[in-house]
Amino acid sequence: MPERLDPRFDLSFTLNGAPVDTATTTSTTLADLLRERRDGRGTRLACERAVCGACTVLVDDVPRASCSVFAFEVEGRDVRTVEGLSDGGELSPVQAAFADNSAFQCGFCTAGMILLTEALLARDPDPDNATIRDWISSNICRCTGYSLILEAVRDAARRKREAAE
Amino acid sequence: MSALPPLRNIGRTDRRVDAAEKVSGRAAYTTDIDLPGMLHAKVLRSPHGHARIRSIDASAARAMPGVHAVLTREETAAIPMPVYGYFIKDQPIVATDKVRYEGDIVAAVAAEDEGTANRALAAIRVEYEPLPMVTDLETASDADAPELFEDAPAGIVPAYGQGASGELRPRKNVCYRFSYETGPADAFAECDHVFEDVFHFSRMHHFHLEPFVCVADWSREDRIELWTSCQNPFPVRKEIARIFGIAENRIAVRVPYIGGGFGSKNGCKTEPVALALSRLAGRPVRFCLTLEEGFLTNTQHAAILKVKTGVMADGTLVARESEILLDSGAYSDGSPLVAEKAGYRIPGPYRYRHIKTDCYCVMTNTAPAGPFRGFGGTQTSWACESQIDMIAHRLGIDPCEMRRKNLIDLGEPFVPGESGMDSDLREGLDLVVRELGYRRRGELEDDGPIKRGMGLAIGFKDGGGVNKPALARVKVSTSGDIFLQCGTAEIGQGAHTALSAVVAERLGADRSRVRYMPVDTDHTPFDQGTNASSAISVMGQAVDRAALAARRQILDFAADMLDCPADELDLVDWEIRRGNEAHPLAPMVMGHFGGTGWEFVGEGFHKAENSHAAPLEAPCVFWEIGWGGAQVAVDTETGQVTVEKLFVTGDAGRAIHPLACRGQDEGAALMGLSQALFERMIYDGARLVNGDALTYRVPLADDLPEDFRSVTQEQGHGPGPFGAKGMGEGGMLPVASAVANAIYDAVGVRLTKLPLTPERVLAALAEKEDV
Amino acid sequence: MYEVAQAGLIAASYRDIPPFPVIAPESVDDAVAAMADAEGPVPYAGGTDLCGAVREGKPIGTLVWLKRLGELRGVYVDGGALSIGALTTHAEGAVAGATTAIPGLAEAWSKLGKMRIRLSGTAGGNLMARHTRYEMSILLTVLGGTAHFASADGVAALTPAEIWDRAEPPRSLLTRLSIPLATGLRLDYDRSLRPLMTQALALWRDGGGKARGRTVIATEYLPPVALDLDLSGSEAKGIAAAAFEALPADFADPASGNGWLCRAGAAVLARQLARQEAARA
Repeated sequence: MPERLDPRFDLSFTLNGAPVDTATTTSTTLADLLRERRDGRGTRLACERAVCGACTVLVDDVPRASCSVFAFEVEGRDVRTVEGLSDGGELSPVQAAFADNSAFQCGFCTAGMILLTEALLARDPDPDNATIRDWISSNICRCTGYSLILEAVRDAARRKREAAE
Repeated sequence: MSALPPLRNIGRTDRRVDAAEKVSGRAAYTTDIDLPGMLHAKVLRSPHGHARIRSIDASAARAMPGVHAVLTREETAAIPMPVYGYFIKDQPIVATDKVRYEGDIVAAVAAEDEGTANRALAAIRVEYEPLPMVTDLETASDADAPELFEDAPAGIVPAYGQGASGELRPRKNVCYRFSYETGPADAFAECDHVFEDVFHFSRMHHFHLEPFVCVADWSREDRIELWTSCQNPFPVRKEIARIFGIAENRIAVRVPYIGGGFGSKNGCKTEPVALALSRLAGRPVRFCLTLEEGFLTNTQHAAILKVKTGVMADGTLVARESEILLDSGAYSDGSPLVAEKAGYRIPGPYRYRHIKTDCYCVMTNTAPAGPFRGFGGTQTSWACESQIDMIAHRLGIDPCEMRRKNLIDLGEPFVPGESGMDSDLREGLDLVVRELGYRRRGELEDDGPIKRGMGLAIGFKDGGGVNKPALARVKVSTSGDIFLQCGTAEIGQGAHTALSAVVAERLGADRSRVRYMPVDTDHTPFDQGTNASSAISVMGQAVDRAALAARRQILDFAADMLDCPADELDLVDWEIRRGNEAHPLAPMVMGHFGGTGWEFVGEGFHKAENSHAAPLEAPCVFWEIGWGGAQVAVDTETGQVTVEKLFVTGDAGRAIHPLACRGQDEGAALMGLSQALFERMIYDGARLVNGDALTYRVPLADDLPEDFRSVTQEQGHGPGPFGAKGMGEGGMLPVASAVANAIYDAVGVRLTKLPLTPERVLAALAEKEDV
Repeated sequence: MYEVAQAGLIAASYRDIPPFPVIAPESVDDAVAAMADAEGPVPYAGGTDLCGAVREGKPIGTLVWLKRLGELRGVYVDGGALSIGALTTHAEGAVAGATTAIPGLAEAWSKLGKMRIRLSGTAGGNLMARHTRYEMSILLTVLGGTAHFASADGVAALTPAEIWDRAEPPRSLLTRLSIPLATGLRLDYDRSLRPLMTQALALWRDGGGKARGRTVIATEYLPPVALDLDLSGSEAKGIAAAAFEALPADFADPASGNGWLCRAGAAVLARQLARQEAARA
C-alpha cells in the first residue's frame, strides 16, 4: 500500500487462494466488500461492532471480525472465508465436524465459528477443553448452548490429526 | 424408558438436511436477498419516552438527491388502516399523534443506499412536546398516572371456553386482562396454611443474530412480493392485506432460512414500513434493522407475579390464586396472547381444587414486549417453582417430595375440559434427582465462605399453540422424488429435518429423497405460524397425514395395476413389494399415465378440535415439560453464585432427530441460566441503558457450567408422528427457579427477583443475619 | 456518575461515512506530522473499536493507519520503567518476556477480551476506546502508569484519569504506556465478578522499604477508581475494609449499588491481600 490512499482506490488481495483486483473505497468494510460478491454471502453481519463474531474471516490466518476491518487493510494479504474451506464441494474436516455433530441451529453464527476453529487448530492441533472454550468464547451463538459446538471442535481436531497422520 | 422399535429415518443422528448449506455458507437468509433497483430504508426514532408530536418537517429530506421516498404521518394518512397488532391494532406504521417509547418510529426514508437514507433522516425536523411517562407496573393505573392511549384502539377478545375470560382496557394503561377460574373459591377455608408471595421477573431481549429484515417489492400496484425473516408468514399476509386494503392473493410472502427468532419474529415488524416505502418509491425496498434497533423493537415481558397458595399440613396443594402484571411496553404486540398463557400456566403441573388467575397487560413507555421463548411460561415457572420450594421448607417437607405428592398423573387432565398429561412427570423428576445426585446434597462440602446446595424445578407450559390449524402437501414424482410443502419456517430448530424424516419414513424412502420446498404463501399450504413448539406436534401431524395420503394413493394405484388388494403391498425405495416380488414404480406409472409421468399428491390437515369445555376453546395439543436441577456454590462474602452443575431434561415423546432435540434443550437451558444469573435489559426510567451487543450480556461458551448436561427422554405419549412431542422452550423454564432453590439450599436465603445478582444474594444474606 | 447514551435515533453505520483519505506513515515522526497536518485525523490500529465509535457518531476526516509503526510494538524494560508500545496486541503483550518484570501482569493481560480480540486488539486502542467495559485503564491505574502522547508540540504523559477526561493534547498520538518499576511491584488482578466489578491490587515498597499498596475498582459503567491502602495493619480484612471506606458514595451504576460494590470489593481485596501474602511466604 502506498503511504497515502485516495478515497477511491484499486485493491488487490488473495481471496480463498485466488487473486482479487477490485475498485473500492476507503470506508468500505471487508464484510461489505465480501458480501457484494456473488459468492460472498456466507460472511454474515449481525452486531456490526466486532462483538458477536458472526462475520469472522481469516486475514493471514488471524480471525478478524470483518465488519470492523476496512477493505484497504487486506491489500496484499490472504483472506479466507467460509466459501474457501470446502475443496471442490468436499467439506473441510472442521465443516464436516460441525455438520456431523449438529453444532449449529439457525446457522447465522456458523461460518464465524468454523473459521475461528480453523484458526485455533492451525495454532494448536490438539487443544485442551479449556483452550477450546476460551477460543469459542470469542463469538456468540444464541441457539445451541455451545455444548455441541465444543464437541464439534474436539471432533474436528481429531479428524484433522487423523488426516495428517 | 421402554425401547422403541428402530426405524429407518426416525431417531437417527445423521446430518440435518440444512447441514451442508449452513456449514458451507451457502444457506440463504432474508439478509441475502438483493433485487435489481433495490432501495434501502432507514428510520428516524423518537428520543422521548412519551411526547406529543407538534410538527414534522421532512421537506429537506424529500429534496435530497438519492432519496426516493419519505414516509411520515402525512403519507400513512392515505393508508386504509395504518396500525397493526395481534388482538389490538394499536401500533402505527409511523407515529401519528404521539410517540410512546424511546425508539418509536417517527419517519422513514428509502434511498439509494443506507448512508443517503440516514443523511436524509438527519434533515427531518420534528417538534415534540414531552409528556410525563409511565414506567412502573404497580402505579400505572393510578388516577394521576399519565395515559399512553387516550382513545381505545380497535381490538378483539377471542372466544374462551370453560372458566376463562378476557377484557379489553379493563383499567387505565392496561390493554388486556385474561382471567381463569375453576373450582370452589371457598377451598381456601379448608386449608391448613395459606401463603402469599410476590415474584419479580426480569426482561430480556431475544438477541437473535440475524436482524429484523425484509425486502418488499410493491413496485406494481396490484402485486406485493415480500421476503421476510418472519415466523408466521400467513398471519403477516393477512395483516398486510388489512393494513393496505389489498387482496391476499395479490401478496406473496416468502421466508428463507431464519437466523434465529426466539419468538420475536412473529407478526409485523419491518414489513409495513418497507411496503409503504416501496409503494411510494415504485422500487423494491430492503429494510434491515441494526442489532441495537432490535432492542427497540421487541422484548420479553418483565412481570410481577403475586401468588397465593392454600395447602394442607401434609403438603397437599388445595388452591391457588394469582395476579400477574406483565410489562407490555408501549404497544400491545403479542401481549394479550402472552397474558392468556401466563394466566393459564401459573398453577404449574400440579393438582388443585381451586384455581383463579387474573393477568394484566400493563402499558409502559418502554419498547413493546411480545412473544419470547416460553411465552409467559418462563414467568410463571419462575414464580410457581420458587413458591413450591418455599412452601415445602415452611412445612418442613422435602421440596422434591412436595412436588411428587402433587404432580398431575399421566393421563390426568390439567384442569377440567383439558387434555390429559402426556408425560410421566415423576419419571422426569426421578431422572433429575438421579443425575444430579440430589439425595446426597447434604454431603456437599463447603469451602470456607463458599457454600453449596442443590435445587430442582419442573417448568411447565401447554404446547402447540391455541387452535392452530396446519396444512401440508406431499408430492411424489414419477421417479419417486418427494416434495414436502408446508409453512413451517426453518429457524434453527431442525424442522426441515424432522418433517422430512417423517415423510421419508411413511414413504419407505431415504430422507435424502425428500426436498423441503421454500415457504411461499402463493404455493405453500396454509399454516398459522412457526411458534409454540408446534412444528412437530401440530404441523408434524398434518405432514404425517399428507405422507400417509400420498402413500395410500400410491398403494391403491399399484393395487389396481397388480390387480390385488392394497393391503398386501408395501412401498420401499420406490418399489412395490408384494411378498418376495419387487415392482419398480417408475415404469408402472409411465405405463399408466404416459411417458410424461405423473405426481401423486397427498394433503394433510391438523387442528385440535374446538371444544367449549376447554378453557382456551381447544384442548392443549401437548404438554411441554422442562425438568431441571442445579448445584450452586454461593460465595457468602461477595454474593456470587456459581452454577457448578446444570442438568435439564425434556420429553420429546419420540426424538425424530436426537441431536436437534438436544441442541434445542441445551440452547433453551443456557438462555434460562443467563436470565437466572445476569442477562437483562436495564432501564433507567424509560431509557434502555444496555441496548447494544457490547453492554448487553448474553452467555458465551465460558459461561457454561463446568458440568452441563441434558437428556432427551422418549416417553412415547406425544400426539405427533411416532409419539413425538414439541421441543425448544421446555429447557428454559425450570432453570431460574432451580438455581434460586439451590441458593436457598446452600445458604438459606430466598431470592424472589431475577436476575439472581451477587448484590441481591448479599443483601438477602445480610437481612437474614439481622433477623 | 455513569453516562447513558440516548437511544439510537438514527441507526448509524459505516455505510453512512463518505470515503476518506488514508495515510499510512512509516515512522512515528511521520505519523505525528500526519496528525498535525491532516484534516480531521483519526488514528487507527487494531480496528476493533472504531466501528462502534463511528456508529456512536465519531466522524472520520483522515484515517491515520498505524499499521506500519513497528517501533510502537513490543514490551521492554526501559530504565526503571516497563514500556508498552501502544500497538502491542494483547496476545503479544501477555507473552512478552519483559511483561514478567511485574509479577501478575502477564497473567492479567492474558485474560483481557476474548481470543479473537486479543489477537488484534492493542494496548493503546483498549485505553483510547475509553470504554468502561475495557481493562487496560484499570491495569494502568493500579500500577501507577502513564500514557505517553506525541504531537507536533512535543510529548506529554497523562494519567489514565486524564485520558477519561479527554485531556490529551490535540492532534496527538498515543505512543506507549509506561509503568514505573517500583521495588517489589506486583499485581493481583481479580476478574471473578466481571463484568459487574473488576478489581486490581498493586503492592510495592517505597524508597524507605515500606510496604505500599493500591487497589482499583471499576464496573462495566464506571471508570476505575483508585484507593490507597494502609498496610500498617496486618489483618487483610481490616486493611480491605478501611480502604473501601474511601470509595465515593456515588460510585454506583445501573447494575450495582454502592453498598454491594463496597462490601464485595472489600471481600475481594481481602482475598487478594491474603493470596499475595501466601505467595510471598
